[in-house]
Amino acid sequence: MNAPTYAEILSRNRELEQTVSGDPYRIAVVGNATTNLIKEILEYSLRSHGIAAEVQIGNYDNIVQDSYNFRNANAIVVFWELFNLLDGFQGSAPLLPTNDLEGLIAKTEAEIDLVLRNLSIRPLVLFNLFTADIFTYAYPGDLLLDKVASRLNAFAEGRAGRTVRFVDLRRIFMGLGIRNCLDLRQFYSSKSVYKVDFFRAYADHVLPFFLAANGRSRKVLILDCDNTLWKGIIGEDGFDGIEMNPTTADGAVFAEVQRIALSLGKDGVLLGLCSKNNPGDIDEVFGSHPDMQLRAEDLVIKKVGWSNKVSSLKEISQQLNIGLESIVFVDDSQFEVEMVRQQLPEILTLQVPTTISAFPGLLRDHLPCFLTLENTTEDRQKTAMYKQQETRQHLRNEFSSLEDYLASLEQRLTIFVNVDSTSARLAQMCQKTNQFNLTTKRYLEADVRRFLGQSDKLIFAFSLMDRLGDSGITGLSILSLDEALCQADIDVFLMSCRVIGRNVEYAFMDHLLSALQSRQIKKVTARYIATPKNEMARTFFDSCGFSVLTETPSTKEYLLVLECYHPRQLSYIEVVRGG
Amino acid sequence: MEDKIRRIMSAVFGVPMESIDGLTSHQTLEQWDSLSHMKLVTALEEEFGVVFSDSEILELLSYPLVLLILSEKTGTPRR
Repeated sequence: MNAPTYAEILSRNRELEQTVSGDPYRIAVVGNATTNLIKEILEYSLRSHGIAAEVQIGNYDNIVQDSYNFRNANAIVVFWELFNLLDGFQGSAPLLPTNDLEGLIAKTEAEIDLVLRNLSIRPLVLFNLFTADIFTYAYPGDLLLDKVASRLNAFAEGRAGRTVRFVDLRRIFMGLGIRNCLDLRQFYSSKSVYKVDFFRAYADHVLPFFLAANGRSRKVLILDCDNTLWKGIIGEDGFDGIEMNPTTADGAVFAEVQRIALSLGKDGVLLGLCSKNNPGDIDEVFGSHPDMQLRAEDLVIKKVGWSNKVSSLKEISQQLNIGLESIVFVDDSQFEVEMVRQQLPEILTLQVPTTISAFPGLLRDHLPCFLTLENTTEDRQKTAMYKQQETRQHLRNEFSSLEDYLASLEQRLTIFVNVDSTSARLAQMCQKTNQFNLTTKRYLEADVRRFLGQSDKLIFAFSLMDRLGDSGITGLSILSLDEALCQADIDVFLMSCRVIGRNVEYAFMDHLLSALQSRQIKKVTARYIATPKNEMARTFFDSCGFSVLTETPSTKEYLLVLECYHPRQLSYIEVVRGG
Repeated sequence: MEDKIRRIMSAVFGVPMESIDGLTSHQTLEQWDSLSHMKLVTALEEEFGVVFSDSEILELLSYPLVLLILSEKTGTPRR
């Protein structure tokens, strides 16, 4: 598929503006150069992924001022160009007296410091690294301008808060060729340096950040085995005939593929197998083949057998409670790849190239789809936790009733009220949780922090411990109080998919409502707002005994008179207060 | 060529294609400011595979002028 031309982007972007719904995702592009062409390109790029992006361009050469503005922006992009630190700096830099140059650098550093401090409360800041390449690329060696760029970058990197991501424009220059990036016809008149091709490539390059910020990064890598993790077919070539030894030419390719998978696993991506083979053969290779880098404990799920891959992948999605759009699948068979692409288009399916030396590169090209913005403790522990969940599902088959099973888990729910230290995780859950999410309010960390400071807000969160492990913070509810009217409203009620199906939502609700009762609250209002993904939560409030006030296909409004509430008092969930 | 130009101008300025006519210029069309002028130049160059000179960029100020300059550049005879 050819990339759309700029004119096509303009028209399609207008169409998408009408059709893409959901909360707006606001991006402000601030800078000291003319970057207006990026607006529709960036909007189009995000809107084609279903994100209702709205891009605003800041005032020309107003970076410092703009860092105080755009208070409601979800992301800020900073185009801070070296050539405009001083009008005509690209020419005058080598001629400036040292004192003046140092003065200019000091002034710019002070501005960078201020801007980064102002922007530190923003959920995502993309800060383009300074580069002089536009003016120095033909020269073999560093010119003064390059040195200024390096100094400013080192300074900026030292001052960046944790929501800042630096964007290296040189990657884009390299990809396109710098001459294809530049158009200086309007440089002297209007400080415009980049061609439209550059802005398109820029939007592609930074898209993974925005997808991640909107919970759209891929979370699972599912691998076929034969000719995907090793060369050869275990069922035919046998244990000793398959090849993944890093010291042989073909083996080195597969050893590297396994290492790429392992590194993703280390970063919190869940790894699994989907292979048509005898399970025993595969277990033997993972258990004892000396050349394997991947081992059974690195995998959260295995579908090895003879059922078709489409149904296996669907099972994987269900068992992990993770949507198909979060899965990447790699297989060497054209047949399987075509079938999965056709029937499960939400899955990103990659085919092992026939030239196998290109295989690791193909995976590396797709690493951006796994990019996440946060590396919370929960992410790092995710693999361990999903493995526990797998064990739990196994256990489930052994118990006659769900209640027996749940009781056997020895669950302990720890409830935290208005705890500040978890606000990053709470915001992350608001951003990412799709399924058991009653209102799908995409609050940011700044919002959560603000709520913590408000006396009319109550934030409840929980973590769940059972005999197999600790889920970490996996549930959240945000309540608004009107103590004068003795009323409360459930603004947010959500639970991570990791703890679904264990009835903890009822224990959580019991606790929430009793806390409200002790604050003399009499009535609680709540609502369910339908999204394409939260069908499973549709009847939750009903099952808690809330009465439906109004109902449309997209929203149900509820009321509960607290004295009519019958707590579930689930005997098999111990509830404690956390500090 | 006329239709293609009018389609591009419609995309750039966000107005119906039918409203682009011999009278359309930066003076008559409110949306035709200096920013959308850059967008227009960008879109026309890409769609027609041409590069305008600095002076041509300054001259592309109405639909008839766009048509004239592009006809000359692409060697398309005008009806």
